Amino acid sequence: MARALAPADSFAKLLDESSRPVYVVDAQRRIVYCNVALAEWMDLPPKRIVGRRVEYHSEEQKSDEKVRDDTAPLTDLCPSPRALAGEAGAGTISCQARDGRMLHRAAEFVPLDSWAGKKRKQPSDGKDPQLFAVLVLLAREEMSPQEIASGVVSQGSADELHRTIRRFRRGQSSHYSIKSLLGSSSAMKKVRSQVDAAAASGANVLIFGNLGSGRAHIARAIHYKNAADDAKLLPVDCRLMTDDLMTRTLDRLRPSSNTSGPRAALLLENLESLPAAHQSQLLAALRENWISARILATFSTQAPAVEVEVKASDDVVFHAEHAVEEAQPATSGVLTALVDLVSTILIRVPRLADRVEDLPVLAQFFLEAHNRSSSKQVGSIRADALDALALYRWPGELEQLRETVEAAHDACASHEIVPSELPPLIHRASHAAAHSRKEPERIVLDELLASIEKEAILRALAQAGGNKSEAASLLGMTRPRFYRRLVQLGLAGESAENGEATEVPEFIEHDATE
Amino acid sequence: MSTPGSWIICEKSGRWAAALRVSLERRKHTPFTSRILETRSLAELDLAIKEHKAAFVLVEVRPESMADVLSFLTKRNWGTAQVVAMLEFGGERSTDFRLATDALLEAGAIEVIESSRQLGAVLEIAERQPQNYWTEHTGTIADRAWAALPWQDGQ
Repeated sequence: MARALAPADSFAKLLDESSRPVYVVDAQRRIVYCNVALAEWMDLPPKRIVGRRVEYHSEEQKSDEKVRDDTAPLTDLCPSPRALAGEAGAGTISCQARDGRMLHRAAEFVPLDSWAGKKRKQPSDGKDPQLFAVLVLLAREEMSPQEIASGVVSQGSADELHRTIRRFRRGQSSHYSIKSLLGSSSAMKKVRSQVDAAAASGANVLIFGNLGSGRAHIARAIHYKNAADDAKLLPVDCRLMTDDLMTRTLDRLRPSSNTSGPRAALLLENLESLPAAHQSQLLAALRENWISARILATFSTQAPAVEVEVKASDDVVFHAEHAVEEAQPATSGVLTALVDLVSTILIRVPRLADRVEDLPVLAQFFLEAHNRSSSKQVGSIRADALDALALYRWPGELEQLRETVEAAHDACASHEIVPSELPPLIHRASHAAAHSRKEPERIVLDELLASIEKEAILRALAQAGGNKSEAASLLGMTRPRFYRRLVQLGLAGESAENGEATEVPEFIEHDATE
Repeated sequence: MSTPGSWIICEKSGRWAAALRVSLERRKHTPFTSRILETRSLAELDLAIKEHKAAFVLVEVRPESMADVLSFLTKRNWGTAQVVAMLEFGGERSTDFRLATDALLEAGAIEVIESSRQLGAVLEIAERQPQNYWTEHTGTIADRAWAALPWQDGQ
């Protein structure tokens, strides 16, 4: 007699015989079961599907290699966010066929709650049931293009919102790629390698640089570098922080009891401007683990800098300048502690003026970006105009360069920007550079004053015919003080100080007798 | 040229602008003038921001306009203007609201609100803006030097 199957096994066997593709995603967004029909639809064996994560947020452009790579997440199998939040519903699930075509099937999402399945009774504490899995049932047939189009309309805002956010995040990942950190200077190469290391480490990162230097762009590049990371990014400008905004920010990062997604990232822009009370609040939240977030912070280096060294890991050490105490002496204790906590890795963004070799490619980038939003198309910036741009010191960094290029684009009368079409500020910088500034004379005050005194004494002696008493009188000095100064200034020997000798230098005697 | 104290609202109905006017009147200590420009589309908003690069911007977001607003926010070419998103999703869609909020903040909105009752919190944020943005980017050298001097309030 055949041995009876366990209930779970018999249920799995039933599903395996189903012609409808079925799979189950657990609360950690891992596929814990798939039937044969799904494996056939995806053209992958079940063992290469089960155990892999499904991603919602950071879906990349689909590639066959990505699907075939057993470690990559299967982004298109991700149930809708509502289903992951415990709501039953319908949507569309896609996969890429071997020939590159996208296949789409209608899907039903059935959330499974823990207390319903395990404890068989509602919890007495009144808490919501904990989601532990989502069962996904696909239709037997592919959707036609017409069905896909009508589905987008009929499913209304929920599915469209889902698609919109996926498109948005895909665009973000592409826009903030490491390749977007333009420049071939050694300083920018170093930044790119640091960004790579920071993205791989998952550690907190502090980015130093001037306002407008692209610090936030670098922070976002670090966040979006890891394609498998579906964590949200929450940017906050510390200059605008209020009590209410701080509370809401911390609330948004509190680990939710209902989700188990990856750690979010908090991007703190201009950390040095965070008010003291909020520094303490944030420090406590991080130390006590009230919030679960990776911290990416930017910090202005416009204050005087101090060289510091921070170990990112055993084999990676970054050097950077920071200006914590100088920036906010009144709150440096808390701010320094906060910086220590978030500066596992430090990255210093070079000034544009220190990497003018990158200026042509950056200017061309901004020019082409402006072309996209303008009816006028300008092809390039002439070499002599680029030379003029390189003479300017760019206190506003990349932001100022972008504005300058846009102004020149708007003023451009042909297909190429020439020097006369650059803003007046650039002309003034060129003019100033053409007239080199005289190096200011340096003095040592004590030496200057001694030389003046010596000159006055010599003149007084000459006036008095070498008579020291009379010279002292002319200078308003007592005889003892006059003799002391003669010795101190090297005009007489030690004995002169006692008034014993009148060793006035010969040239004085000579002058006096003339 | 930038005009400190400008508010630009982009919405269909004018409801948020009315609420903002009331909120500004109630907060009489607001340190800047309260010029409110109303626009009815993102294209109009874009033009308005080009004229007032240091403005404080409120933009209405409906499910059908979500994609356009996200695209608008990610362009990030509006100078020092700050954008607050006002959600008009209706109903009890908490999941949608949370998803939309996360995406809008990630795209560059400094805050996301769903009720005009939250405008007070927005005004508080805006009141920090003059100290941080407008004084840095506008005014003559003498104005900026004067602003940098200590004991401004005579204490």
